[in-house]
Amino acid sequence: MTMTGENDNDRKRRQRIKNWALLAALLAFVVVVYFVSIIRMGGH
Amino acid sequence: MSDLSLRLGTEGATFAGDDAGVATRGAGQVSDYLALLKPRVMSLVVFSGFAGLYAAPGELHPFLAAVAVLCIAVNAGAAGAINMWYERDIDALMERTRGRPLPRGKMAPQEALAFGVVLSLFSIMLMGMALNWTAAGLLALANGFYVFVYTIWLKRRTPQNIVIGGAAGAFPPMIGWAAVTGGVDIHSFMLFALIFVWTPPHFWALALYRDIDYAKAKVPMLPVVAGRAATKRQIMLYSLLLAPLGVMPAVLGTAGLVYGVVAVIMGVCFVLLAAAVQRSADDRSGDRPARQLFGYSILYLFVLFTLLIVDRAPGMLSGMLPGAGAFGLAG
Repeated sequence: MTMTGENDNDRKRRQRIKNWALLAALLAFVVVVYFVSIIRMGGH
Repeated sequence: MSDLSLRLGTEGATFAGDDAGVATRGAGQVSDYLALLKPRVMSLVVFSGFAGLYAAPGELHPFLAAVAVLCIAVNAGAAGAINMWYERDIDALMERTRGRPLPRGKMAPQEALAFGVVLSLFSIMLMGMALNWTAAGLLALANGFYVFVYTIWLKRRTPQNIVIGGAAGAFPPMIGWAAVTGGVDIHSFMLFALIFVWTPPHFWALALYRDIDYAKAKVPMLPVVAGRAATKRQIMLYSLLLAPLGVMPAVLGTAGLVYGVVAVIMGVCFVLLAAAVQRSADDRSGDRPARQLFGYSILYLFVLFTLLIVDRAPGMLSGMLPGAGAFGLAG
């Protein structure tokens, strides 16, 4: 039972890390699109 | 609590080749997703894409140039992830590939597929919005060619898989060039042709000493289907084609004199190594020249594309004479 609890915690921890990584990737994408828009509108 | 349920909780089911891993949804780590992108293959793709972008005539905002390279890199990685999804059954059989996330049961196959498809779409859309739709179209073409033509159609059907499928890996410099110029011309086509002709001897040299692996996975690589002697002849033939083709960027004025001279020398060395492979014994003792040719082929491409970049860098080498082809044919 304890083993299952540890496994579950480990699984949740990995899922949390993946969620943060996905959030970081999405934020990075937003930042990239923002700067691309600024540069394109600037006439480049 | 059974052993099986414990394993499902920790590492996921070992489902090499089948879809039993549905139960492991969400079990993959961030590092497993990064491994799906084939980082080592990506480095050559990024490098050749950047070289095409840098060698192209015209100006590009540095941030947009970085976005273009990012799109090329992510798209290549995404195609690699889809490739790993499709080939998870044979990857489990080959020593070189059995450590990949899917054969090891690190994640469910459909997660890898979704990851690859989403990244493919994002990178193509971003390339189109940030740069131009010619570059985005070429990116989509390269992706589709790698997934549908090479991975799904050719790889398991014909020993010519590498010859035709190699086109997918030849696109990056053309995409980089198109990101700057918005089009395709003889210069970017020549860079495409260079990698296209380089690919068969590069992969067949690898296949010569990995033929047991390929045979085990029933992948009809040339040494498995036609034998080592025929493969060596083909390597020689493509090396003879590659040597003059490597010089063409200098002839056309895409690169300068230094590039031209080095390309001649390195082309000759390529042919000499191919000749050593051809002379080698047909047993396992012939693996050494094949390994040497494989290693040299990577060096060959890296050096030529480095010189392509250096030649264009302001104030460096023959790039000091903009537009001057080594043999006076530049437009």
